[in-house]
Amino acid sequence: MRVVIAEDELLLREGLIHLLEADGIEVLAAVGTAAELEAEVARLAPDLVITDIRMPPTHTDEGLQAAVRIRRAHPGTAVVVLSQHVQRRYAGELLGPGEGGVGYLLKQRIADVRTFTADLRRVRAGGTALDPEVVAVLLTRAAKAGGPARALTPRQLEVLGLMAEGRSNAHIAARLGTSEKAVVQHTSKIYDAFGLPVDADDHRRVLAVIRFLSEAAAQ
Amino acid sequence: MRREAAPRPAPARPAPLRAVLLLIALFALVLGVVQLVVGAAPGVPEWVIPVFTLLFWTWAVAGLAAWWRRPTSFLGALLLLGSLAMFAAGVGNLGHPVLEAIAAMFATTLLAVTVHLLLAFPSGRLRGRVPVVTVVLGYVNSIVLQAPLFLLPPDEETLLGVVSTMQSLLGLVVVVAAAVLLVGRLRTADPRNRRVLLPLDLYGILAVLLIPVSGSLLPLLGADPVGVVAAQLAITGGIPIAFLIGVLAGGFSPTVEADALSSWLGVAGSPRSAVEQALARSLGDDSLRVSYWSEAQGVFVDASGAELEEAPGARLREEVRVESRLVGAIDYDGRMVADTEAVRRAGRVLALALDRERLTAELSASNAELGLSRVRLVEAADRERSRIARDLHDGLQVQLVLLALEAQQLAHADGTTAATAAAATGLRRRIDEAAADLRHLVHEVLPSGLIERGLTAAAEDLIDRLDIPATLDSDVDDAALPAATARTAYLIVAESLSNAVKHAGARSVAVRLRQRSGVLEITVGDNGAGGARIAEGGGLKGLADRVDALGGSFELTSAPGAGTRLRAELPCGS
Repeated sequence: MRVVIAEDELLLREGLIHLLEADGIEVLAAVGTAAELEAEVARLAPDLVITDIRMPPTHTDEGLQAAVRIRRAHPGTAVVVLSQHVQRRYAGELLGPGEGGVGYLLKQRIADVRTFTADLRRVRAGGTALDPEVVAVLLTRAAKAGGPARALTPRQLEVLGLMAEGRSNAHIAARLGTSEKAVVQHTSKIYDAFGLPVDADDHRRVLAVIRFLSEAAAQ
Repeated sequence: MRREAAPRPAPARPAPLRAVLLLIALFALVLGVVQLVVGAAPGVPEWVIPVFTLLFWTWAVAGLAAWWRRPTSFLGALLLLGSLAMFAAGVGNLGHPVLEAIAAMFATTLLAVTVHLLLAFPSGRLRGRVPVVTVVLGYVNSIVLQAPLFLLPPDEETLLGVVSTMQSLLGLVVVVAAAVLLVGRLRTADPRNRRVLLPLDLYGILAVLLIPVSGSLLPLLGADPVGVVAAQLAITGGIPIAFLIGVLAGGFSPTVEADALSSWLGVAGSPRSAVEQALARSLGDDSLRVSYWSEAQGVFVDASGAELEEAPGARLREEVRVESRLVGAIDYDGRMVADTEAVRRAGRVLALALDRERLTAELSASNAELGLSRVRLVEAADRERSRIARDLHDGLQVQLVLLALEAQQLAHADGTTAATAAAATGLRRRIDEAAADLRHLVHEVLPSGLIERGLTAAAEDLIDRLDIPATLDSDVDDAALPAATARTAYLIVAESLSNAVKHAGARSVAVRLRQRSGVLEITVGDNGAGGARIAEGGGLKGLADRVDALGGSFELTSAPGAGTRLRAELPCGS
């Protein structure tokens, strides 16, 4: 896997490079601004981009804007956005356009190296990695708004949260200490409740769930 | 300065002055009538006596009118002096040797009086050494140098010629000096005063130049001797009329004694600048300014509390005191106001009123300063928050990621025992927990949404994380909102939402942000228990203070059992 990194904090950038290379991931370039990132993506066409949100020169949301543009302009490049704080609106903007893999995680998730690199690989393969904190916000919001989410059992809500994070059935089963078959039963209940068609494609069904949760509260 | 608003003070003249003026009028009338009755001496044309009498009366009436309308000026007295000179110059025509000697002696005195009038206008007082010297020279030239002309026998032609030439030269020097002084005065005069001064000065200087030279100049232009005399007399008669018009016109209009001011102030209800208005009118100087002494700053300030420049050189400053305590000053044009004693008297009458205005000026100055310092405090607090949030974001938060990363890498390292690996992973988890706590702290200090996107995004993030249903309705242009306004609005929303959940037990809450014509309106309403108060030391009190410092308004409606509604308005400059 060939990766380009954009992170303005030098120590963190070096830490990222080190942990990626230790896991056999090739770091093509590591830069400190969104403008440099977009230039490197155009030049190197990497498999994956990892970017910070707040970077020079304005220290606002330039990293996120660049990520959204890269997703639109380079469908072959998956994007993972890292930040010290996650919020729902940014998740919606990232997931909105494009078909490629996408991730939105707290920076602190880097430390759990194996989970983090697994997330990167899943995103590289077209999957989704949404931070549990954003998922929690989505679930709370959907619950406050009423609707089908309130009909779910606590266990089903747990499964729904892990699905929204982008986890596979096997991963969910392992996490909950249950069988994959039981997880499939839970997910089909959730589809029924939400009125979503059963999709064979794991990634597409995850996106459908997230969009459903986002829209449930907006209505 | 608006004058229509205030009632005009009735000109008050002391009874003795009225009596004196009436007496003078009577005296002038008698003198003129006597002159008319005696009639012209043989060889003098019949028309001469009535014309000279008419000119005498013109000067006298002008002098009396000026004195009557402007009791504090000496101009009227000067015009009466001119009328005497006019009379003296005319009595030579009556045919008596003594009267002829008097007439010869005062034949050119009127020119000196005119120069005196010009330089002393409108106060009637000369100010400065050069004008005094000029006027004294004028009188010396017209009276002392005139003596040889009638004392010496007519056959001393050479001596007479020398004296005559000396007189002409000295006269020219006086006139030129007067002209220079007048031009200087015109240049520094207040535009309102210049409107009157310019025509008067022009006429005066031309008159002083034309009357002596017209005798030799006009015949060259083809005028007959009678025409020359008529022209001289017409110019002479025009002088007192011009000065009278000058006194009555422009900023030198009706004036009153200072004693009348106090009652007038009471009637006017002393609006701001009432003191200045009253003084300007009473002393006859439109350019008069009142300043107030600021003890704290040790300078004179104006009514708004702004520091004043030193009075320019041509202006005079009379300090006003209440029981020897300096309270202010009257800045005036020394050429417009003759009598420094009159200014002092007026200052004494108005001292208390001026002191009150001074306190108002001081208050408004310290008020403005206080407002600015409060805004500075809010901005300083915001800067401090930003610095802390930035330091944590760039420093400690990064450190915790790296520490957790190292702990986890230790767990995965080759040769690490299972027990050590488990301990290292546990350590990593605890660091992650600490990082989560720090994340919440940083978010409280300064939310990322506010830095990255502005008020609406930050408020939305707050609502997303709220445990109860909430709505956000915002039409704010986040990019155009000033940072202090956005931050204050955010703090209001955050505090209100927190109160709705924690204290009011609300089931839902609605946030509305509206931006229009330079004002950001923040409304947060919940359906909780109500009964919220802006208590000292509470979160709402701090917010209310902050809003007040920024010049906004803050309004809390929270009847028990009827929910809480908070509405704040903040200036947002667009």
